[in-house]
Amino acid sequence: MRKNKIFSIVILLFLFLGCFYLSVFAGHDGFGVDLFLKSFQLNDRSEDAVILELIRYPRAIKAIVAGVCLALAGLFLQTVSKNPLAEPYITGISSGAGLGIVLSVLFFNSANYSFFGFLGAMVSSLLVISFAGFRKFSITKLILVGLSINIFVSALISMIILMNSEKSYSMLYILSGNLTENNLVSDKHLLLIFFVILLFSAFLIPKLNFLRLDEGMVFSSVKHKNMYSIFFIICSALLTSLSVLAAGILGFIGIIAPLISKMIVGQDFRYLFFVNIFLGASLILFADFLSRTLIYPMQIPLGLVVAFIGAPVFVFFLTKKGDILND
Amino acid sequence: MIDIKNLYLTFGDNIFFEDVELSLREHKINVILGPNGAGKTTILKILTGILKPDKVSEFGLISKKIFYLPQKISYPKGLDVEEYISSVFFKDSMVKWFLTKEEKNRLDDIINKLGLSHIKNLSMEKLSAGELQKTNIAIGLLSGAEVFFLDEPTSNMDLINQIKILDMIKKLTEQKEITAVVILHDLNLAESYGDYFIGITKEHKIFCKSKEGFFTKDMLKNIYGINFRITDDGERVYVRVDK
Repeated sequence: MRKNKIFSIVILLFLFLGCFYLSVFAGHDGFGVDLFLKSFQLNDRSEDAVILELIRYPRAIKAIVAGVCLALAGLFLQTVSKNPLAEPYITGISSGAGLGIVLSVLFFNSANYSFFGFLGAMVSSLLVISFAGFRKFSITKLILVGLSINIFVSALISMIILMNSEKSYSMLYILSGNLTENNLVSDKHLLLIFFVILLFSAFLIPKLNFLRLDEGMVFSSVKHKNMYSIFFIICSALLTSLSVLAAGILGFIGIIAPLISKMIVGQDFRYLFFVNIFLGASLILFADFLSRTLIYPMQIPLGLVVAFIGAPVFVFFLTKKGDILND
Repeated sequence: MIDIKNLYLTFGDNIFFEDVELSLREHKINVILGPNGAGKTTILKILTGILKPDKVSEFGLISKKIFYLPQKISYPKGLDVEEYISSVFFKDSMVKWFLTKEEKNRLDDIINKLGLSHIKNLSMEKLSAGELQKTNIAIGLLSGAEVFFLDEPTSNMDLINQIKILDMIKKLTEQKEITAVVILHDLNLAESYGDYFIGITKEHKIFCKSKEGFFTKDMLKNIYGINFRITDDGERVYVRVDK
């Protein structure tokens, strides 16, 4: 059993490396083996090297950050709420981020919109979590408050889009999710924040091995089970906001990556952690590869590609191993 | 003896428990009996600290390590028995990636002791109701709890599994490992396994009695409001509803 799980992690690691390769080196003209070999040469100032350094690597890094963050955030929320439908955007983040993005397009002509999305995500999730209450916290309340805020703010977003028809195309395009450039937070800083949160999550994750027990069981030394839940929810809000900073709003990954990982490796969170982050990153890297190459030279918005490949992959796993999700 | 004295609980304007007194015998099976709505689960929730009473002057459980197992629980999917039971080791420390050797040994001991070793690598979905309940008891034991609160631990089980679980709880109390506080519905099972009895009436009055004091016509009528016929064959007492 244990060997199988480690084997799964290794396979997912290779899948991740494969998708990373595709995302960075492959293009419309092939699988880019020569590009890959050339990338090992130092001081290469050719056009290819510049493309790699300035465009491809940063894109791939953002894809990884977004994939890992969303997958982890989804895993936290699904476990804490014991609800397989829980997704990172439950806490009002998607609409908050959306509002931030739409407003930035409206007032700043879409410069640094992902940063405004990040701000909107942080504000709305804080709002939802505090409405759900820290002292008399309940996950049901959180989900319902999040739902209400999502609906309210979504209506607001639609209003803004409808009333500004000249900018509505760029708003809709950006809202579909893209690996983006922003000048306010450099890739280095993004990576730094990412590694800090990832490390933090890695330390915390085995605690979910205890939280997977029925919450009705009471142990005298565990008085504040809610505290852990709130902790994990805040953590997932941070992770999701970070993913907005990297890639805008990307639905679906946060639901399917944790669920598929569970189907692959079961519910030992120490193994699940690795399978989950590799899978989340792979899905987005692969989606990025497709979004660039599928109808070259046009780019399909990443969020749409994620939906196109995510849904079939998810249904495939459901038909094979969906039993594991039944109650 | 664990004593609870002067316990008051109100729901809004309704007084539920008024000046209630009860005591639990240590290393025994304490059975809570009573009709639906009397407050069996409520008293269990107070004893385990889930529900705060309005007032209580003496609460003997305060220094005890407890474990409460609710009547219905859900099981995480995709785990085998050993993994499920080991969940409890992640309870206390904030950061813990690996089980220590000592914890692994304790896990093996408990699995052997409860007779789960032949199914320890079986996935949880394949277990019977009785086997599932044993895994929960294993979790309680590994948590280091001294007092076990079990809300109808044998509901949904056939007679053989009921007896297996109760035998196991009995053995654990006799070995002085745990004190058990158990809600049961079957009076005859309660009579054969219980050592000490806490009866709750529909009016939320509580009676704590030994076996002899509890299985009398008057006492049972007091608690359930119907007549019982009690037969004593010298070895044990049988309870029947008197029609």
